[in-house]
Amino acid sequence: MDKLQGSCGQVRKSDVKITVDLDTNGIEIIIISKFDKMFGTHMEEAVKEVLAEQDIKDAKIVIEDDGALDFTIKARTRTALKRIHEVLK
Amino acid sequence: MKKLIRSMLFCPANNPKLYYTAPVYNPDCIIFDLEDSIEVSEKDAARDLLVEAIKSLDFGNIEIFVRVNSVTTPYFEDDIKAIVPAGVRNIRLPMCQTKEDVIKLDKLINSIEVEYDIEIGSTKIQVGIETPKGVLNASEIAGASNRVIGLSFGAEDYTASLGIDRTKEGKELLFARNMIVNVAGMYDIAATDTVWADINDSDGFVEEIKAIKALGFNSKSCIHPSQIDILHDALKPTEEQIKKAMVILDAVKNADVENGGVIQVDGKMVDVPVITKAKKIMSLYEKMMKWEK
Repeated sequence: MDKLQGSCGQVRKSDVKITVDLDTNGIEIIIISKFDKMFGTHMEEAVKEVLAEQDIKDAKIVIEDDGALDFTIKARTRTALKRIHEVLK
Repeated sequence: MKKLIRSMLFCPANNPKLYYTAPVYNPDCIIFDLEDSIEVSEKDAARDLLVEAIKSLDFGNIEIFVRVNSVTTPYFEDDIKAIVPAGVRNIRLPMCQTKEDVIKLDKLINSIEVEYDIEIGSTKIQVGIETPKGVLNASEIAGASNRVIGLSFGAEDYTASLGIDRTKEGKELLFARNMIVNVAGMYDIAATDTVWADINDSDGFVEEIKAIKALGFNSKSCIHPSQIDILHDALKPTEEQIKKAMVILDAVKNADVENGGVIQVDGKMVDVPVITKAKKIMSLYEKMMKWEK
């Protein structure tokens, strides 16, 4: 995996796998979930909230979801970002 | 009135589903685990998930504990620095062996409480006694900080340290259990017994609860939701105990013996220690009734 890529979580019930790539321009969010139609916007908002907190303006995020709640999406996003920062240290 | 704590249900902190399914089983406590059940590569993920869950979810009147990684690991400080600001107020410190372990945690918590303007002393510690050294040092460990609210016994690591098998009968655990209960009594703190690992043997589980209750334990760690109701039932005072306690306390009302002296109730001597026991039984019973409502 590239130095500017990090991921966290699993594709299993109530969980989500978040993959972040910071080697990009602008924010791009891709959702792979059977709940996309109902909760896609909600999932995007959860990820965007974490990105905004960390002032990240360039990131491609892939959300592979199987029914994760907000707190899980945010936590997995945070950990994925931390893992990139750990590699860059 | 102290909160009623009988069951402490272990949940690995990296499983999102457990954060909202575990409360459904109504344990007195949930203990989210950052230690043994979490792979080294997932320590960061479990910690972040726990922090986010604590900030977002309302667990009602279920007490939340977190078992952090031990003081000798590289994860210990990160665990404490993440969970205390997030709102965790009960920490189980595993593999505690000396008073210095508690002092190290106490100092770290103190600095975080100051930094984040959290009430000083509001974060409590339950120490995990899981080694022969920890058992022998239990007294100085319990007395090392005012934050210590209980001792919990870990039989798997204890028997592993001694190089012996853990049996269902549990004779090999008797010394450690006696020591823990005795120290807990000395400091007026809780004594929590080890897990019962065989979830399919509920008869064995009930026998063990009866045995540890007789020794003086008032709570137990659980590894499966099916153990909670069994534990709560088995820890209840018996009808006979309740009846006897009520009769004693009723007789005491009409006699001036609470500070000394003796009366006879049903032909048996009743003095201060007997009254104290009767009060404890009624207090436990009342708490259980209140909780079950």
